[in-house]
Amino acid sequence: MTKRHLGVLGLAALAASCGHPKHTRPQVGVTLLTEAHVFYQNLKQGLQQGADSLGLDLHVVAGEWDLARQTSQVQNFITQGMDAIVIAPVNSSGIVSAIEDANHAHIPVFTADISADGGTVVAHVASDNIQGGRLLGEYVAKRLGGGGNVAILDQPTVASVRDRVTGFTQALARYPNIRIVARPAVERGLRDVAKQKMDNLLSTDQHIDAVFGTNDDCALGALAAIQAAGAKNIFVVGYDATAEARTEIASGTALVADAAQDPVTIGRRTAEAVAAVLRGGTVPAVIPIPVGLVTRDSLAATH
Amino acid sequence: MSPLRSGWLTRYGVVAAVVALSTFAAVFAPGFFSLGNAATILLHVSTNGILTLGMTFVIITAGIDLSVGSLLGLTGVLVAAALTAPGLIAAVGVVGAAMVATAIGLAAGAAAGVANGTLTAFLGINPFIVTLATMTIARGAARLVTGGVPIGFPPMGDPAFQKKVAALDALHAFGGGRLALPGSTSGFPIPALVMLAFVALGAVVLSRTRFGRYVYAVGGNEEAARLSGVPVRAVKVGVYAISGACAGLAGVLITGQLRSGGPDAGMLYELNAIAAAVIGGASLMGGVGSAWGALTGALLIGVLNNALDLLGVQAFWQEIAKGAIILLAVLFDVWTKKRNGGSAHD
Repeated sequence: MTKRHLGVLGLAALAASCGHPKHTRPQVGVTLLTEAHVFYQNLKQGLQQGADSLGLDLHVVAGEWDLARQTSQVQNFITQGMDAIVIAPVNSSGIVSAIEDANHAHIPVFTADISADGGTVVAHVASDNIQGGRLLGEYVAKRLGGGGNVAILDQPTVASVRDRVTGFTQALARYPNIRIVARPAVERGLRDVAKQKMDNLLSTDQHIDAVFGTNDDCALGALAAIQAAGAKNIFVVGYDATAEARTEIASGTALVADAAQDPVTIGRRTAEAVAAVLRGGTVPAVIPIPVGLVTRDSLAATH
Repeated sequence: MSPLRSGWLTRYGVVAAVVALSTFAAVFAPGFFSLGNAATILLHVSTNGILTLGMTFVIITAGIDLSVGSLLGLTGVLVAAALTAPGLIAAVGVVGAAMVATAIGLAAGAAAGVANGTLTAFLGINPFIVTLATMTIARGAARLVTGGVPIGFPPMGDPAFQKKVAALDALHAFGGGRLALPGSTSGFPIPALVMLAFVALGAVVLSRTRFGRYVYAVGGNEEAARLSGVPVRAVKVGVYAISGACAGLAGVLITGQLRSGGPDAGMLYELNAIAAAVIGGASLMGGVGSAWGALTGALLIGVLNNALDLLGVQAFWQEIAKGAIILLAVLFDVWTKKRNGGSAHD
């Protein structure tokens, strides 16, 4: 047999496998922003739990921060004839055309964690990040006794972080003696970049009482800078409550509180919404998942 | 302009730019002009400075190493994993574990560099493609090793909690430590000292050793170098090994400084290193560059980052400013060299 014959055979096999075989269980395509992050690993776990108990078959892939890759994954789901598609978008505006493609194919689309700016999305399931930011703002205000200087390690290009910061600043706005004195942006939310930004803030004459790290890498980077400088009377609050952050909070460092999203519940509620819609039911367009507060006391209470 | 003066400009143009920028910042940026801030800048420059040093060796041979950022991430998680392995701590103690972890980081970086060099020199594959591939492989490996989760402080209730923290603290004394400095309460950061020592070592290797002369010869004219008996392939493997080892060293220092190895650490750092090498006078065409140039290039970027932060310049403007400075530096370089009568990469 020639190479060409083999190639044709291969193509035929590929075509057969890409067909629309009839499955008894609903097939759901899932493309996550990344799998290299605890948050999405937990979200995936919640999705899987929900899917297992509701009789859905999941096909999980990830865009790994690459919009083009995620778009082609959605297109593959359309070709494969998925019954529903769940997207945690790499980019809120960029994912719209992929969603529109799915709309044209009459496949219901759900978004989890990060919303899309357009296209028809049946339901969006995500943390209430404004509420989470407000929770931290209230905590900071209470701890400062209603007066002091606050710095935010911001990530202005990330939509969910913008919500966190909006809630945080809304809460602080009710306290005229609390001022936000610095708001540097941390590229890609990386820990070493956050530490450098905090080092630089500590180099200035500006007095800072509290720091809001808009994710835990920002908060832990700020903590490293504060510890290296031996700065006293300054505390940090973070977002995500990762294992590392919980350890720092429990051991009484300057990191005192974290907003804890509940990615497992986000995943499970997404699977529930998909199952309900595939059975002909309706679900709300936005399903907010509450964010909790983790402090030394709350950690002590659960251990 | 006299040849003498234009020669001075060629050699010290970037140094002059660093001095001018520092003077500007000292006047306008509150908190810039202090020993403490100078130490902070050197600490922040140390990662990029070490990567740039290795990158400069590669660029002088007309090569490129895109894998250094990912190698920093990979070696960082390997260092953190070794450091928090209870068996290792039990066998050699916490300080021993820190030393073994450091050796693992350097060896893993150098080994990856040898692989880059071998593929480039012996199989004749373009280094851009080789290191693009190893960049992707190293990042994937870092995520695989960690499952995507940073390795750092152990979770509460870990039976070896105290020992793991002690081992992390031992490496922190290296990557985040400071030496007492008269007149400064903060002290001099050890990573900056390590960077300066390695830049000095790199300068000696490049200007005073046979290997250094070979590096320039390979980049100047590879064919001529081969004909005159230079072991071109071995030299190429050598420079990529140096670049990989530098990435490993940076991975050790960052892991020590943060007491955590993250699989996404060092993302896109290869681009900062290339920018600093070029600002420091290295030519992508090969044959030109120096270790002290690598340091000044990294310093220019570091001083700029620091000054813009202290001035409270918005992040998006900072990116635009950094890009503009890179272009200006290269334009200036081309201009002075033309005035000097030579080609842009003589």
